[in-house]
Amino acid sequence: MDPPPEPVSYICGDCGMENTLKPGDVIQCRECGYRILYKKRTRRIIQYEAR
Amino acid sequence: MEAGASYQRFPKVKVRELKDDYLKFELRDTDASVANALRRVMIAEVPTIAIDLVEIEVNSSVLNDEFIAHRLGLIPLTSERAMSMRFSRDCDACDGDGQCEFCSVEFHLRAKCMTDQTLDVTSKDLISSDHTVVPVDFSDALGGDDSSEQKGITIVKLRRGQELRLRAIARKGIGKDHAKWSPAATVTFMYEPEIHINEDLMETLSLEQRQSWVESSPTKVFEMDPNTEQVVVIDPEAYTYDDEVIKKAEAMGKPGLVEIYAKEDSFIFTVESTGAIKSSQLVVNAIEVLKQKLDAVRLSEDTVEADDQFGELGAHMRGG
Amino acid sequence: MNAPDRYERFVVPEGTKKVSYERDTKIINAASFTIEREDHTIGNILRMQLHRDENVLFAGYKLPHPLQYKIIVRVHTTSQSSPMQAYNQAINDLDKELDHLRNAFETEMAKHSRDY
Repeated sequence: MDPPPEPVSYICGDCGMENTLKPGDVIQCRECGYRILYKKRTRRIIQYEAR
Repeated sequence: MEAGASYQRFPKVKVRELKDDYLKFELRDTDASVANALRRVMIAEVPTIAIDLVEIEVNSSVLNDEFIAHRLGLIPLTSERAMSMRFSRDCDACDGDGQCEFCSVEFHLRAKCMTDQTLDVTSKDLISSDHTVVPVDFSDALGGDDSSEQKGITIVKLRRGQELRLRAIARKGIGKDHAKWSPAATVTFMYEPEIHINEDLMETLSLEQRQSWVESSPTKVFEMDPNTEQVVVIDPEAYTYDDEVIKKAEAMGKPGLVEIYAKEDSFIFTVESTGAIKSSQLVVNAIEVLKQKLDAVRLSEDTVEADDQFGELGAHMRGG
Repeated sequence: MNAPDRYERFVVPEGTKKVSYERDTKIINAASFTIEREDHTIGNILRMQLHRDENVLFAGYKLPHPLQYKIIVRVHTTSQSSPMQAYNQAINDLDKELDHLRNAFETEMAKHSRDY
């Protein structure tokens, strides 16, 4: 349906390194082996009312 | 029909103290409603410019996006342009998004902490597209003792690696909409007091009694002259209309020792501004805004009689 | 959840008139003026000025509800005048008073800055 999904990069919870993962990869940091990875902040610009 | 005699009053003004952000003046020969209307307009209806829309690209600080947006909104911006600017909603020049150069001012902020020392992101880091609309500079002439006076308003503090990048649009608005647009820090007025000491009754008091009566006032209104042993009024305006001295006189068995009246048409205004507009300019703008409001409320030729609640007669006329 | 938007306090919506009035059916020379999107700031100042007019027998204002942003000013006059006339006269007088106040203030500021 949609074009092949871009490889998404996640941030390791421990060392902070960016890991690129494809669907089906093991969820593990490549550098330190920590298994909790966080998603990056969206690239879209969000608008807020200063109220 | 009579042309209508004018029932106008002729107010008088006398300035007592004047600084950029503080003004104390006397207003005489006008009604309390006018003084109060001026006060209300100064607080809520004099327009200023403040950040209203924030677009955040990157924020890795400890404060979340809307927190920072809220703080940015509260930063006072120099608003001399405000009276001549248009409200975004009334602007016909922009293509509807309310962001054209006539009705808004753009700011941007880029900060990234590179060192091990905490980076303080302040209002001085906000870069404006219009040099007449900038965050108010609070550094006083007394600077030099401590450079902390020169830093500006802290928005957020960043650690090594944390970054903040945003674009902000500032618009014209009034305090009624949101307090960030209020140019007044405090505006107060008091009635000028008229204090009369009954000298005959005062004579019947002993020295200690007079002293204790003078001290019963929470503020220093009266004083005992040590040489003549007379009680004199040294600062009538320090009187806050608490009736402590009157109650004390009654407790001592001497009611009517002092009579204090508030002069009905004499007011002492204290105006403190946030720095967005000079306090003297604030008063002038308030008078202008009040005139505009009155103008908007005039009856014109096309003010139609509202028929809706005419009641029985209206319903009857309509065949009901 | 039910609170009106903040701009409702001062933005008159399309189609609504800022000022409208109704004559009183039972009393001659009496009318109620409904002013949209105004509050005590204008209401009190108008009322006090109307009281100074000798031809005005009754003048008062009210906010029917704190969440409905309008005021109703009620005026009764003698037959020498009419509520509309008294109302307009009051506004004109206030306008002149504010002009006078502004001039007095600016003169005083000029004087003060000179001596400063």
